[in-house]
Amino acid sequence: MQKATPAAIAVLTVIAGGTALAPAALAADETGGNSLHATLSPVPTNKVTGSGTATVHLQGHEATITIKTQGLLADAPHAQHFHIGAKGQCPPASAAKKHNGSLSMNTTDGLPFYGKIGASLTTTGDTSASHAALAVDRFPKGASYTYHRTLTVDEETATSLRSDNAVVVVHGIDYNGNGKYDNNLGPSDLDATLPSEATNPALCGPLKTAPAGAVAGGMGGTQDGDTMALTAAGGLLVAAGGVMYLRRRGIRQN
Amino acid sequence: MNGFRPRGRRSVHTATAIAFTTTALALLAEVALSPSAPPAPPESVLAGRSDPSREPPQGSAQPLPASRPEHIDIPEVGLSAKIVPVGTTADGAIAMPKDADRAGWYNGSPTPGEYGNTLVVGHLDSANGPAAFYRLGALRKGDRISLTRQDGTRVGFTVTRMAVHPKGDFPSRSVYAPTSQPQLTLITCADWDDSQQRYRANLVVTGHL
Repeated sequence: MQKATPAAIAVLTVIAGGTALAPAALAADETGGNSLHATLSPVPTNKVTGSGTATVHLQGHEATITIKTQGLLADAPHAQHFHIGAKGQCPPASAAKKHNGSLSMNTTDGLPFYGKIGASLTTTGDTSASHAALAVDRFPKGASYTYHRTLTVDEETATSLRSDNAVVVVHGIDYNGNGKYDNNLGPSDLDATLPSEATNPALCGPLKTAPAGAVAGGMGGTQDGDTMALTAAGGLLVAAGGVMYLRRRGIRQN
Repeated sequence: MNGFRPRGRRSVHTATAIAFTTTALALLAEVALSPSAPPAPPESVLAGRSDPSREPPQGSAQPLPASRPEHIDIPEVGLSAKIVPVGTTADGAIAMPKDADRAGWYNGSPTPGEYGNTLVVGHLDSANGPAAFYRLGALRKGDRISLTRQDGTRVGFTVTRMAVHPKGDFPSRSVYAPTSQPQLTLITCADWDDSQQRYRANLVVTGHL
């Protein structure tokens, strides 16, 4: 063992030296822009059972958006926007108020959480916050739809998107379940010529940076010992072989 | 070897060879008896293939309000760990918890019980030994995963899919995709590379309510 020990130490030193050459982290799947994800959930108290997802890829001021919904009011237009500049959150049930005697959430009730409109996600034409916000003839229609469009957003909206502060809100609810927008909740807080049901928030989802690439979920502490021992064992067997060779050569020389 | 008498240089050589061999055998025995190798995921997922996925249930249940996960328990494989929130690294990957005994909930993902894809990561091992997700590879489809939220509610997921993906060709788009129903995605390392002294892949476990 006295001779084996230095050999083992030498082998282990070599292995330890190798361990020090830790691999650099793998580069992320970089496309140069920002990828954002949102899960669209029913806005509490508005009697919505739908859901959906949104993905946004932002390159400079160009936002490529995909929104998928299900379970919304059929055959009705659903206004949809990026909301920006508040908490970057969806409103909790506690933000709801009584409207026309019914506890519900109108667009104004949610403003402290998702903020003002940053862009109108229309199917064609203008996408600005001010002029297109309620262009009901240029929003997707139906219970389930897939919306896909690349549009230019302003600096404030781009900044909000990059800082995980933007929220996707899809509007249009059927609070009393009669299959159409009506005035059971009174007129809209945004445009008194429309029913509140047509503009109340239905689905909401905060846009958050999508992770990229694999995780660095291990340091090898349960592998290193084995590796070192196996390599050391291998090295020792080679050494043993070498010594046996020396011995045999010694025999021949004798 | 008949008539061999242990003396002189030959005997020194012989003794040395025996010593080397004995030490090597001792090391090999230690490796063989060592309990430290992490449990392997099912063979069918090791070659980059994944188990055929069960259709995620299209539940109509209303989602829970947000409340971040604080603990993960998988009794069937003896996994139990605290969960801390984590962000992303400079290169965009989900950051790992500093304490390798804790799992990390990606704070840009929904909390468990909300609609969406809840992302929880964990170390397989630290530099010294097993870590939070050391036992993850022992999971099998149908096993139950329990997450305890800050508000005290527990949300149970059933393992529906296990897959091993190489780090250099990781399907970020599908693994991190938002989902309209509650989904749990657990990620840790897999596939140790002896020569590079690093893990080559990630194990991805998917669960549904």
